[in-house]
Amino acid sequence: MILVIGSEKGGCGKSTLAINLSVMSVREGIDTLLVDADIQGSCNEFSQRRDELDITPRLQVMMKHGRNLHRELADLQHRYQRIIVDTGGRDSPELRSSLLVAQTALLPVQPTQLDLWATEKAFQVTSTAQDLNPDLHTLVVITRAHTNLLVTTARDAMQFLSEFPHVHLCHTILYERLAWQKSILEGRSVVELRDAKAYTEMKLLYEEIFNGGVPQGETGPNS
Amino acid sequence: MVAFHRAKQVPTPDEFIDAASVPAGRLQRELPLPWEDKDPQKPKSFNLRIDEQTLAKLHWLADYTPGCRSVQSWVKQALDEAIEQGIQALLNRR
Repeated sequence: MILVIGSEKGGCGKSTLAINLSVMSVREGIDTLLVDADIQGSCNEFSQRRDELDITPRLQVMMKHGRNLHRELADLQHRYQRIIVDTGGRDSPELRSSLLVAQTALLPVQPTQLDLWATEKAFQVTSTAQDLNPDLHTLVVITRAHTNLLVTTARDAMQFLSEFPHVHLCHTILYERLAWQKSILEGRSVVELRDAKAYTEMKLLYEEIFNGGVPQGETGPNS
Repeated sequence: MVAFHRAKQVPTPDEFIDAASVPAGRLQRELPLPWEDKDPQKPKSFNLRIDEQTLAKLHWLADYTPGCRSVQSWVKQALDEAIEQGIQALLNRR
């Protein structure tokens, strides 16, 4: 299975999601490869940090760039049970190429107007990719949502995103928490850090993406 | 009612990939950096030059609008432009 994490905007948590989902997959005993197709190489740096700190299980990361990424992924998918691709915050050939062979495109979106506008453009890309790759389905997850219950931007963004018929909106919302940054610094996923709230959110999202589980009710900042 | 179907043009995979807004494996804004050149004879620094009008605006902004975000972003943009022009002038000189 190939999961591509992409977006037109930077800073929405693509690499963080790629790292966390990959570590969780490996911890479940799934033979997982994390492909770092972003030239910033954040996933690769995380993996090196994890190795330096001797944290197990090891995360297997491969850096791949270029417009022929789909050919490489098509080959690699016979060797790994799960491939997670981090494509960086641009409409790049790496993003488009990997969408041609992926089963799932995950688009993290911050609940801000600028991000929502950029997401509309990303939807056009995934929609065209679906014409070429009918196996592809698009998931959207709200990230870095405000933890203040009075701030309703995440809810508003969900309402806006629910109007696009060809994408599936994840029920799980990822809130802005220090645990995300702390975990990266320590070479761990939030699941390994055991921050209760971030742990729960990430677990629910993982279930939604890979096992089709839908959380009961809406996840909140204090759930 | 007669169903109306809009014909949708589907690109080829190559056309789809080539329609990306940035080239493969590159950042959107990529300048060769003079200070990375290993030749000691080649100039690697420059004086930051800001025209008088922009400088006056920067002074005014520093005095009257401390901490205002939109202003900070304008200042950053002005400095970025000046730095970029300095780098470009340095590159042209070589």
